[in-house]
Amino acid sequence: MTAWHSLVQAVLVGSDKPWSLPAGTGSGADAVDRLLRDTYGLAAPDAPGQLLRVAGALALCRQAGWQAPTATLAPPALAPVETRHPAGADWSSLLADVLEHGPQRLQLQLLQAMARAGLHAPPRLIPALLRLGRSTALARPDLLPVLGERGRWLAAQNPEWAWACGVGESADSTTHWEHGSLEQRLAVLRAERVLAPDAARARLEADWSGLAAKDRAALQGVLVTGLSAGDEPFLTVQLKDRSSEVRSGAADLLAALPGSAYAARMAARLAPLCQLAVARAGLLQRIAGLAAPAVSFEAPLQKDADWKADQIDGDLPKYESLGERGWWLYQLARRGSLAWWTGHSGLDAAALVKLAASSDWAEALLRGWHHAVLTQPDPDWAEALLHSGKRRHAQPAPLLALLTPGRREAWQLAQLDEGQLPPAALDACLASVGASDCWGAALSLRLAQLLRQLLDRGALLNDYALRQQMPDLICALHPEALVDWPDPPRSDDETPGLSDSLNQLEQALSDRRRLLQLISTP
Amino acid sequence: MSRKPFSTDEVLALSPDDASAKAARGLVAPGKWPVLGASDSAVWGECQGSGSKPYQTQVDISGAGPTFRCSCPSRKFPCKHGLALLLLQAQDAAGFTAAEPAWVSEWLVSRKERAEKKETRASAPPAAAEAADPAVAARRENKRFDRMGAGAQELGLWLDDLGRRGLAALAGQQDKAQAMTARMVDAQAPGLGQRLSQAMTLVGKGADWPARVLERMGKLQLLVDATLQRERLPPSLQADLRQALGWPFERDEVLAAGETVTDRWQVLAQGMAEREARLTERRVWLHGGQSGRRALLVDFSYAGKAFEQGWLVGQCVAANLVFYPGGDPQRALLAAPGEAVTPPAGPDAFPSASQAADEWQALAHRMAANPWAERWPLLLGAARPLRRDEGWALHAGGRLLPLALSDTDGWLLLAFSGGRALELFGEWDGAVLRPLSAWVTGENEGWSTSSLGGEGA
Repeated sequence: MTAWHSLVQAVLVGSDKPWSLPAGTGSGADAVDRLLRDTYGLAAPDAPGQLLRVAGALALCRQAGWQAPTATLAPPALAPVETRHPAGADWSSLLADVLEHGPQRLQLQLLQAMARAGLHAPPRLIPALLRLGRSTALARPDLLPVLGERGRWLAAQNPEWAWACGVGESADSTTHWEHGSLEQRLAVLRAERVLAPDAARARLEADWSGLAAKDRAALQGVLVTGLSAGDEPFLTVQLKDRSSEVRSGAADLLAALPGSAYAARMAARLAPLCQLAVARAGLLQRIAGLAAPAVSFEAPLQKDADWKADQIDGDLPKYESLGERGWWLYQLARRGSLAWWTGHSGLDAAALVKLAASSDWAEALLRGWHHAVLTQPDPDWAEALLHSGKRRHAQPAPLLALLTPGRREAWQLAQLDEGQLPPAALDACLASVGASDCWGAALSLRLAQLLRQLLDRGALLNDYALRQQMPDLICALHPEALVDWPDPPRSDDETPGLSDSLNQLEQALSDRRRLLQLISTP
Repeated sequence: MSRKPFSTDEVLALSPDDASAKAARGLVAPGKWPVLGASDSAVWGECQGSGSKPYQTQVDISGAGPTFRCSCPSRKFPCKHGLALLLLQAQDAAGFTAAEPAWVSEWLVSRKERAEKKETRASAPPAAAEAADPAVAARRENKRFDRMGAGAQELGLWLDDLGRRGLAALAGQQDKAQAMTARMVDAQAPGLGQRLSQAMTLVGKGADWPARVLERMGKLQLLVDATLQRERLPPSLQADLRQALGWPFERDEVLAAGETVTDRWQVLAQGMAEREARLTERRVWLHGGQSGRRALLVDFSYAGKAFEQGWLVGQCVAANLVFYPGGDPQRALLAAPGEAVTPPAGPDAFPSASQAADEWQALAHRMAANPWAERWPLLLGAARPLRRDEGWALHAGGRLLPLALSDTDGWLLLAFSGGRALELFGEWDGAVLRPLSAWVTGENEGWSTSSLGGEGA
């Protein structure tokens, strides 16, 4: 036992009990030993303070002679040499600011710009970048290059940052698929469906029989991405599922496969209901050969016994606004291939929708096609349906999402010109622009004008939602719309809350301008 | 003297904590600042706060480092306004166009006068007033030592009782220890009370607490012994004893008795810690390029009042330092405001650590020279920080040192190292190293933190 240990033992029970230094201590072997002997010899062991005094002398010696334990761990390996260029001071300081106070759109825009410019972030920003990637999966693709070798090296040392290490990712998806929540399983399947649609289907098919009805319905929805003829056998099985929700979903998906047996059966049912007729054209049109073919729409006269197998419901549900025949037509339109309609009639989507809207069966057809276009994405149909009447579409966002950006923005611009006002207009515009994108110039200029009117009217004073949105809106505007953007009006009697949101607005504006400047000066 | 605006990184390095840096970034909006101006010696601005009157924020940049002053009530130092002002300048110096207002000129003049007064005081024959009647001073000193002696005697009895009954009996004794701490303050020996309460905080924490408490109590016993036989100690140790008991030297006393060292001092580290409410302690560690001496400057700022002199890690200042008397002079005073000089470029930008064995040897000598010091500067070379399950550690010379680091600072340090061997400077408290700065010889950018953690003063 060392002298120190014996002192600790002695002091635990107290010096009222006899105590002494271990045998051999104080033989004068070294300086410390001699000091210990001299201190111990100063007074009797039970003299006042003697135990603590000896301990104090030894504690000081131990402190002065302390040696760190020999390392049993190897130091971390050297981080690989960077292959990208280090970000300059201007990029780095902007990145620090934007990481600090967002908005997210600007973070994504900046990371994208840095990734494209071949830059990597300085080490002092790496932890913040890794934290961002942990909470925002959306940012990961651009974060990975910007992190550089040092960033990936650091991530490997913290399990929380496994997302940045390639190995962690695939391990993640297997665990998530096997043990994760429905949300996680959906994410895994969605990601795989984009990269390898057949493998994703096989993965789902393997698990199918063991899944609850609710999970089957949710996971089935993922198949809309990358849908192909290869999916037909699996979907055909699902047409006989125990769950009506799954059966109905399978029918929607099969309808979207033009070559499927299901689509052929639906085409046969629809053909008699869509009669081609040559409209009586005016003299001029006849001369110009523009006699447009036209179609007339009919609804089934009676229900058919084999409808049921194809998820067509012969009985009118309660609270259905359509009549019985309309209900039948709606379902047939919903499960028909949109491509069949244009092919069969020789008309484009816009013409068909226009004709349908003025026909007796307007509601049945338009509702059916609206439903169909969601599983059979087609920008022409989506736009035609959008124009067919705003009242029918309380939620235009799903249709808008199907349009090309240019046509989407033209439609939104038209909405704004018709006097649609915030917040609905702003929400709709934000909902349809990608997380890191900005709108085109025309829409941006119009929105900027609208926003400035709002600001000048002091809308930020009471509109808390707008306060929150402002920095994001600033970053979603086309650069052209920022050229003439003036500083917002400030006054001495701002409330602290208003003052904060105006600061955030100015900050976002200034950061965005710095980014645009950096992008434009290579 | 003209200088270019501070860079964003330099400004952020001055921030007392992350929250202040964050708050300052939120203020970096020109619209918030109706008045912005700058000259060769100062930067100023008026910032719209929550009140009707804007805050007047100013920074004296004529000295070695920036010195802040703001009319806001914040107790952070520097406050967010001061940081934001310099951040704004870093971003867009062209916007600083306002003419110098009276509140800036007056402050600059008063600072200059104070500095000159200090200089005359420093160069005047030391402590003329005190010398007038050394007998009075000696009598006053003896009287205080008597009182501290009485306190030490009382603490000695308490410690003896503790030793007799054993540490196991300590568990329920927090109240009595607290009363004893208060007694030591009454006896004008707060240092004794502080050491006692620090030892008491360890009781029952971790499996080896008896050993750690015994270390502290044993050293406290030696301090009591020394107080009771003060006259027999050499003068230098008497000086250390006085400071350990909690009776610091006045500036004049240090200027009169301390050793003056002229050198180009490089700022190795700067730490801030909030002590009692509204009191901020600042510790600046310097390295003398020619003398090889290490010096510690300790300042306190109450309620966000400006520190006399600002410092920047890595910067080099030509100045006279006067060391406090003692067996191992470490703490020092700035005799007069220093003048920033261009730091040596290239491989000499920062000192390189000597051989690790020499550093530990020197440390042992320092401990022997002043057994009551509570922390020592430590500069280690070829040091690689690493993360283990229990926290942060330093791989140096084949050995593993425990580090006291927040997770935020730890990951930043690790990111900076990238597995490379660093020169690392920190404060060693006998058991744990608190890293304050690290660099790679020959590189300009290093890592530093101003966080001294939450340990007691």
